[in-house]
Amino acid sequence: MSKTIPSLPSEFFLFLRDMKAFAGSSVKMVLVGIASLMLLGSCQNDELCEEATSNPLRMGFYLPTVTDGSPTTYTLDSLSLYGSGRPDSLLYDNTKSVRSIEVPLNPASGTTGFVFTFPGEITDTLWVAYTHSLNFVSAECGFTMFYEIQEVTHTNARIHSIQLPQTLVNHSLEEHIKILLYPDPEL
Amino acid sequence: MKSISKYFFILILSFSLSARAQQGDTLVFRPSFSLGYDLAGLARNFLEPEVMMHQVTAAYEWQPNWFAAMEAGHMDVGVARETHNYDARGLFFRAGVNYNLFQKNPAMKGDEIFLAFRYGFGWLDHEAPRIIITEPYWGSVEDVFEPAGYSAHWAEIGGGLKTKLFWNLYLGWDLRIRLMLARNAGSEMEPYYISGFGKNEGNTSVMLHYSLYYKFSAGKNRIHIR
Repeated sequence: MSKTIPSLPSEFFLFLRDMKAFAGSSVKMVLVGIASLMLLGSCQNDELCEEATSNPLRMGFYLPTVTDGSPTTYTLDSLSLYGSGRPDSLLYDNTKSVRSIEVPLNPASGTTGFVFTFPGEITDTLWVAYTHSLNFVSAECGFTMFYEIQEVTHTNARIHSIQLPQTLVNHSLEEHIKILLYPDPEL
Repeated sequence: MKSISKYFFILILSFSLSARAQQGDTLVFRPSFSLGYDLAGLARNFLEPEVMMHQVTAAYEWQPNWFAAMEAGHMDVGVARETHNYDARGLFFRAGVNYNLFQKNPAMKGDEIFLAFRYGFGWLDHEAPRIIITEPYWGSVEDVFEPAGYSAHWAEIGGGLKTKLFWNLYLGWDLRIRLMLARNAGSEMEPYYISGFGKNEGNTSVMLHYSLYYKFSAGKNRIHIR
């Protein structure tokens, strides 16, 4: 039987022979090992938290008149808003042209109230009742609170009704509550 | 990380091709048994003080180039940040085979360049005894995550080098690529690190092991004819 000759270029085998000699040298191997360890170590340098850890409640303003099967979007001329019990600390301070809002739920409670001041000093209070669950984001970011809306109640000065398209308040950027308003009394 | 694994596979492929190209007649073979300790756990602890992993390995060469291998170990994680504390303790076990590509080369003198195939299983208990949820408007609240169990199993492929230092002492490194097969969570909290698998960032992980081995002969000389 003749010796089988592999059909690969001879440079390839020379390269492999060099590799074998290289592998056989323990000093070099130790160096290679330490180098790769440092490389892996540098890949794992992720001490910073780059994710959002707060999950606000998102609400949008609408008129009850239906356009294309859903309420018509509405932009308020101005809005002031504070969390119930915190009239000294406004979340929105006479903000102009408001189409939607983001507000924080109270993680220490099962209900959070929000007091709205619409144009013409018309005020309404909206109460959101919810359950909460802890969620682990990462070792760097720690934990965040997820909420599930159970019930929404409100006064009726300017707020006509509400709709709840999304009851889960988490990382997702969806709108949770649609606030349907009576048309502007001044118009 | 992806490019590291790509070059690693190219290297393994070239070694496999070259092993096939070698010719041989007879071989005196004495089964061997080796015990090892993974030094990379200590090095990783230096780079990432929150994780401590100890691993011991045992391998038995039952026929030339083929090793039955197992690894077992312990993991301890302690994360303490401004916003949370997280602790985990776990054990792991891996079993499989190593295939030595270069044993017949006389220049290697008992050194190995090997491929490794493993099945791994890890289980752990973890908890977050202090969690602060920061809420600037309403004020922060403190909470806890009660201790819960977690287990996972995975498959891994890898390879590395092993070389004789002196006496029967060997040193070698070994890179592994792991693919998660299944997880069993005891709570909605995902662990930071999975014992034996590595950082819990998706279904794959790459880890380098750097072990010190002691090799014994185990059995009588056998003649192998190829």
